[in-house]
Amino acid sequence: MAMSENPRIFAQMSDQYQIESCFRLWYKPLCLYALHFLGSIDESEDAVQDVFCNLMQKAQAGGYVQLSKTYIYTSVRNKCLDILKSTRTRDTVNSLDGIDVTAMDDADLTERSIEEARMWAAIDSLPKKCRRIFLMNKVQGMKYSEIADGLGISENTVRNQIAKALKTIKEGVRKVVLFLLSL
Amino acid sequence: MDRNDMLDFVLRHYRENALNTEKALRSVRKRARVPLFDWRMAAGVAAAMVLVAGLAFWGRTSSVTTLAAYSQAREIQLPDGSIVSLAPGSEISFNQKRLSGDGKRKVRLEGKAFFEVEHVETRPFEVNSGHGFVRVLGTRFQVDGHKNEVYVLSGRVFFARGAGEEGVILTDGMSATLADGAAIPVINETSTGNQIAWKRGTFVYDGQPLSLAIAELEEHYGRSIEIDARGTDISDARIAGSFDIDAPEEVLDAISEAFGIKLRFRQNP
Repeated sequence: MAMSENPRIFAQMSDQYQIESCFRLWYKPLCLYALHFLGSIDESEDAVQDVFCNLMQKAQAGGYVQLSKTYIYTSVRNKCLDILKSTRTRDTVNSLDGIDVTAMDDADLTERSIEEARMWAAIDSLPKKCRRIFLMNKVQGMKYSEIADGLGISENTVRNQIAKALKTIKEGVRKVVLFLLSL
Repeated sequence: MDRNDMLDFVLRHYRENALNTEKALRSVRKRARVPLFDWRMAAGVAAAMVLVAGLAFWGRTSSVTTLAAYSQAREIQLPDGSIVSLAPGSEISFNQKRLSGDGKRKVRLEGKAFFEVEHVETRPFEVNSGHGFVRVLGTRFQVDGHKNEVYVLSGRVFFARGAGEEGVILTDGMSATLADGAAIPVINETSTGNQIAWKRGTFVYDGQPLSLAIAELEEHYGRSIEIDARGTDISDARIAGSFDIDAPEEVLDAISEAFGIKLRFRQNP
């Protein structure tokens, strides 16, 4: 960190920077993590943003802010459980997306969310046309021939684009390096 | 863990334009600040920041103070309470008496500096960087005179070439560049926030192209970087992570190792 001749203001700004750096690193993985509990991407984004909003306010009020990976994941988890408690019945909590999140090992779910965030980012990084074809097939369940007809391209092109997308997501995803902070 | 399961899960929820980290960060900043920094809302409304052609703005006065940062960044508190972080090789001049008085606050900048301006409703703060000057009431922003670039960390800044001319409004996390001979500054599409890496002490990436990161590192350290891809195709590689700015060699080593390539600073620049 750069030296400062004004420790008080620097400490406050420094906290804010640390929180923002942390946010930039962990936002996507945390949202994917929350998604396992909440089943809605919008709700998940809100939950993660709430957690960071509280951290920033706490830092600005001069409070001590802990920024370890474990602490932040736990905060998001608690936030999600609160939301579920207040809005849903117990039965649905355990059956979301076929995964019993409350029974799942939390370390596994954390690792899983990081990998899923990488996949999400990899889909984002696909060329527009390639992403469109890929999603038509995988999300809308359209056949190669239907996509080819719809877009006026050959089936071969459709096949190649989908193969390219899968390669980027499954293998190329490892090129998206996430240097996990040893916080 | 099964990768196919994970991909299924991601695809079930995937939506374009969701999970936009920078956009989310801007909205969190806004929400977190409201109760504590009420003045910034006022500043947002009142800060119709004007940029006037920099003619005769800096009158010849006898009591001008000039402070410079040589090899290291330097933080300075101005007489009005504002904080300036000067990048290495930059200097700032101001009239001590006027800056602590009641009138407009004016400083002249050569090079690059990050400002945290104390809000005083009646005393706009002006930075002349040779290309014109930016006027603000209270905000945190950076003026880079080398690149004619303005980056706003928080607050609102109107940035234009001259008075009464068309310009752009920059808010949290945005930057714009005024190209030589251009009439209007152009907002930079991808703003990594690493413009202020020198001040923050870290470079932070969130899935930006590796090539962009390498270009930023080259610019920051003022040395070109040699890439030995070792047969790996890195044209689509993207990078996420946080790097300590004071350890250039370690940054290159970490990236090299992660991608299975070899990066090194060119010996004779």
